[in-house]
Amino acid sequence: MIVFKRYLIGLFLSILLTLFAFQIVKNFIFSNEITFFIVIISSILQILIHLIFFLDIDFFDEDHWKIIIFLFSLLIIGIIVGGSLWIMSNLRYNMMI
Amino acid sequence: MLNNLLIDKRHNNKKFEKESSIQIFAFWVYLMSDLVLFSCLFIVYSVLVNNVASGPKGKDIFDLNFVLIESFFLLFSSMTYKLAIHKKKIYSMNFWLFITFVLGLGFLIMEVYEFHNLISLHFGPNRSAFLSSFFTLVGTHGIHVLFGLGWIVVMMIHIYYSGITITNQTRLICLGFFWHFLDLIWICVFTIVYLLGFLHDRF
Repeated sequence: MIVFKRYLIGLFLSILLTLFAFQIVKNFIFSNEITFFIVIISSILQILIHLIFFLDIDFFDEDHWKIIIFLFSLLIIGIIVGGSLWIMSNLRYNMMI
Repeated sequence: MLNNLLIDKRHNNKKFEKESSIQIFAFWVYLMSDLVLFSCLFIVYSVLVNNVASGPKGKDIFDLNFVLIESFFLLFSSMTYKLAIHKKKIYSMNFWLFITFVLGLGFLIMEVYEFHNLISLHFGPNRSAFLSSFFTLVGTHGIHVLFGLGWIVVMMIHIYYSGITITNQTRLICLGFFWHFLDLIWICVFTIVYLLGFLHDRF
């Protein structure tokens, strides 16, 4: 039963965050910049909740290979995403689009 | 003799456990490579999002309420999957797996309906770079969900015929990773494509 409580907490938090971000975007409560940041932050929180409650990532586990490979792929993704955005924004600037 | 057999069995079990943990780890590595694939598609989308070729923008074609229901389908299917893998009996496990399957199928049908609707309005992937990247990203996720659904059916047959064995439990753990991973990708799609697409003039 304790196990299910954990999953229910995860489900509840994800639903709450989804509805929160949805309402903010739908009703234009804030200006675009503030909404942008709120939505990004709530999605990052939701990803963390998903990782901890559903994908069972334990950051203090003895078997740390799972975490290491996850962090490594985050590094690769950071290089791909950051590099692509950098190159494409440069390109856009130089081509005056 | 019996003792020997028992020792052998225990030894085998330990070997089995080690093998299954290696399999789960290997599956995790595969999922991480999938994560890199999706991040490439996301970056393609966000580079091309403004190239609409005087076609529709995201704001014109997205129906947020529809997508919200879609994402709730996937979220609840994650929950029912977690309920399924902790069941001890074959029938209740298969029942919850079936519920998961139905929820995932509901998600997929809604997505196909959305695609069909867009294409019938002549907003198919050949309309603009934005729409091509949109269809690629969301379609790749949809294909993953389709394969996940197929895997759930295969697991239900496995469990029905051979019960909840260690092999099946290993497979269920891998399938669980896959399913929750798809939910995680959908959170990113929901945020980056739909919610931020709604704020189209943000930059």
